[in-house]
Amino acid sequence: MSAIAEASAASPGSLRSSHWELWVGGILLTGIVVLALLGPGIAGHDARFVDLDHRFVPPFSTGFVLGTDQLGRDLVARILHGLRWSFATALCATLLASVIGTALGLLAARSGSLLGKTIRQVTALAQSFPVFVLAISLVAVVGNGFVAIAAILGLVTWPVFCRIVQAEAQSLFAREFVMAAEMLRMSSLRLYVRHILPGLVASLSVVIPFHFADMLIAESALSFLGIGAPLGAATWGNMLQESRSYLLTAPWLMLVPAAAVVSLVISANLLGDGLRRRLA
Amino acid sequence: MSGTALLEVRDVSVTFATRERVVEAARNCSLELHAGEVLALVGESGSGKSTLARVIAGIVTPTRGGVYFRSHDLHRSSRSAGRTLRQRIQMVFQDPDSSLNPWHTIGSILTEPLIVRSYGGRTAMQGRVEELLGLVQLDTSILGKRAHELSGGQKQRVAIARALAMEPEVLIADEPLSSLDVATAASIGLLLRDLKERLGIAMLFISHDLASVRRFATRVAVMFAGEIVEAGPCSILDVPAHPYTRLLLASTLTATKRKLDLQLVDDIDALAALPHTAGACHYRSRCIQRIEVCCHEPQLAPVANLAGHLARCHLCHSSPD
Amino acid sequence: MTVVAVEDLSIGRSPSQPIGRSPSQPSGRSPPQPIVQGLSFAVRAGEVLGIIGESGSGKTLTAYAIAGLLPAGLKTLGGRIQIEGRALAELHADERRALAGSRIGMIFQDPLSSFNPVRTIGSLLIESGMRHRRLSRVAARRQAIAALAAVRLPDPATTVDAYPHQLSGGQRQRAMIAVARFNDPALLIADEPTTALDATVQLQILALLKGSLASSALILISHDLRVAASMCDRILVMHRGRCVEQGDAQQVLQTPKHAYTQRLIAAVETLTEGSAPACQAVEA
Repeated sequence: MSAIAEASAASPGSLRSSHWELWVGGILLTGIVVLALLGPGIAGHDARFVDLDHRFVPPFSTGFVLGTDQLGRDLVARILHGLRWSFATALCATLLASVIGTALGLLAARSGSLLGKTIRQVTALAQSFPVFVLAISLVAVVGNGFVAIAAILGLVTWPVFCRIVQAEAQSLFAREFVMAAEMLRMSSLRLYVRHILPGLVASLSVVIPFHFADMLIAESALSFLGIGAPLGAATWGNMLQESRSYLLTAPWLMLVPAAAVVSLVISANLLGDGLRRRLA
Repeated sequence: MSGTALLEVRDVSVTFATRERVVEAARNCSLELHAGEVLALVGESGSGKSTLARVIAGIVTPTRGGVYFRSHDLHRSSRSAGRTLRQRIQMVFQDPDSSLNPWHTIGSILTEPLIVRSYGGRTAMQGRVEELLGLVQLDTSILGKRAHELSGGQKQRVAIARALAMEPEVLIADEPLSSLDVATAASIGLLLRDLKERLGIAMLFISHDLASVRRFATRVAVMFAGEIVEAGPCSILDVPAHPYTRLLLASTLTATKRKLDLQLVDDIDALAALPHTAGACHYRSRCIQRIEVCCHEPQLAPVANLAGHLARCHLCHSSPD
Repeated sequence: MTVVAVEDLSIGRSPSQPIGRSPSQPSGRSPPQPIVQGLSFAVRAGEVLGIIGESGSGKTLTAYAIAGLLPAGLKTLGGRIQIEGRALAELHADERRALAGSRIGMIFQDPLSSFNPVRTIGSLLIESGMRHRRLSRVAARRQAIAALAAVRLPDPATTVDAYPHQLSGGQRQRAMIAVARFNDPALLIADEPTTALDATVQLQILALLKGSLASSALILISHDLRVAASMCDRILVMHRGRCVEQGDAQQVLQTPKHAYTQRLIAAVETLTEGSAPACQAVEA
């Protein structure tokens, strides 16, 4: 590589700043995952246990680190339960959307023919629908619950993956090393796995954390509206919904789940940003 | 040269349709490649030579016409039936930087063709990879590296080794020397020639540089605007018939040529602009020798001076059209 | 009259700015190795000097150093560069920029990436004329059209408002020559100006460059000896940052003294001279 190209490409600050986003986001997210895996068990209280003697206990009190809600239920346990619910729903939705979107994107990139054109039109159409409205309508038809929500969110948001994969795959097919691989006449599977997918990893790694964050917010919003998780279940959205009546008297009932949503979304976004700077 | 050709291109046309217009990248091209020879395809960028090369390689489907390898239709035979046959045609690309997978090691890149061919067990493949490296004069220390760690010349050698791993009967080299330094280009050119002689591979050598073509080719075909305008044995470059070939030869610089042909440049610059009309010779708008009859498209016809010499120009044929 | 004089020039990485590591380089903190070392040459008005070398030989860096275009992270470590008798090192950054803008014209290798895609060809010329020659916008526009006509671009009055992507490769290179020549510079530097072009267009561009000389000096950088042979009065051969041979073009090409030059000439001959024996075999 010529000295000029090298010198122009590197600039002193960039390496350090991409590192901090990656590290902070990565550590936060890892911590959150550990909490989710450990589960509400570590809280010491059951999430659904109603204890009318200890209603509205503020945070940092003995026995209840984050306080209790209007029915005396421990907030730590409820937050952790909600974490599992939100994390799992968002993760499944993202996985579903990425698998469908990637598959369709690869198909669309390859065929210059009718199939490719059809997929592209369908993607454009699907993307033009307001995601949220569509999700609400589908929940009204299908009902709520973990599987329903995860499936609906996944099935409604695949276009973003499809678009990205299609564009990347199309440019990859024009690259000479892919043409050289095609000339070896290998099986299509081998061609895609060994030559196309590695090229997609960079962009997908960046999109996935951001999409995950979007799914988190979408799920919380659905729960907040009362059409997400079943009523009474300990999810962040439900907790936010229930906290509305006590905003002035027990503000922590709103602040605690809100902080939870914000921190998870921020860590996902930081990870995505860090990856984008690293890989782009 | 008698006998059936190894590779036959019959009346191939490639048309691309973009949103604004229709582009004819190649028009009624016919070629023959015989075993053991080097056919050079020469032309400027946009002449269609790369498109034609890709049709022959099988990666672009022609709009009309066909490519026949050992009498089998390359594009229309079924995937499974034609597979082994298609593997016998391999290609080396112009840009060594993008013709090697950046995420794989060199060892992996060279083993892959052997895996696809079901060459044998791990030891057999390893041995064959070392043989291939020897053929292209590379050291085995290169196997663990990735493409960006290699020089341009080394990358091109790896690309050649990868092509050879399929034991091809036809090797298409698409401007293999154009992205390299003069010194590196010379060594790769010699390598290609030696390999061709040792392994008996027929070669299709695509270039925009007439000088290197002279050195390495047995037969030449000159392309302009998607058509073959002149073809014949390499010696036609000593007695070019078509004005475009003459222009190319005159523009070629050599280390001994001390002066630029300024008269030629003036002639070109003085040429009045003439838009292409349908049915006219496609070279007419750039031809300094154009005459009245050039508003009719000439056919590729034999030129009197040399056996096997064809040219697409009214001025080359004594008989009126 | 000597337009540019370079004495014992050394270029290397600035010691205070660590560059991001690339995988092929060791990560030690050794003192900066100069990339170009001990380079000396001079070019007179009306003369063409060819700097020949392979990629990585430092020829482009040398040109950038003279034009004041070294990127951050690289700098002149030693030696002197003088343009029309004025030493570059003694000037302030603004003076150096003004000097480079008005007295030096640079022609880059890849015209597509050297032009700003969202600006018209004419806008560059007009801006340059207004800044360095203090012309009014109207006068600058007229001069711009004349400049485009001088490089034989078709329909200059329309081309002046065209965007780079609307021109062909050869036309863009002509436009770049027009931009470089616009302020009648004392020195023209052409960095591999014809590498991306076809043979016929290459001939036209080289002829144009040769015709641009008048009272300017031209430094032509190339990896191809053949280009140098037909254009240059003197040749300087670079290898790994050092000058290995320098002299009259005819002499260097006919009787090269250094082994590296001899290798280059041998390589060119392998590629071009003589016809392959295979050519004759077909006749029999």
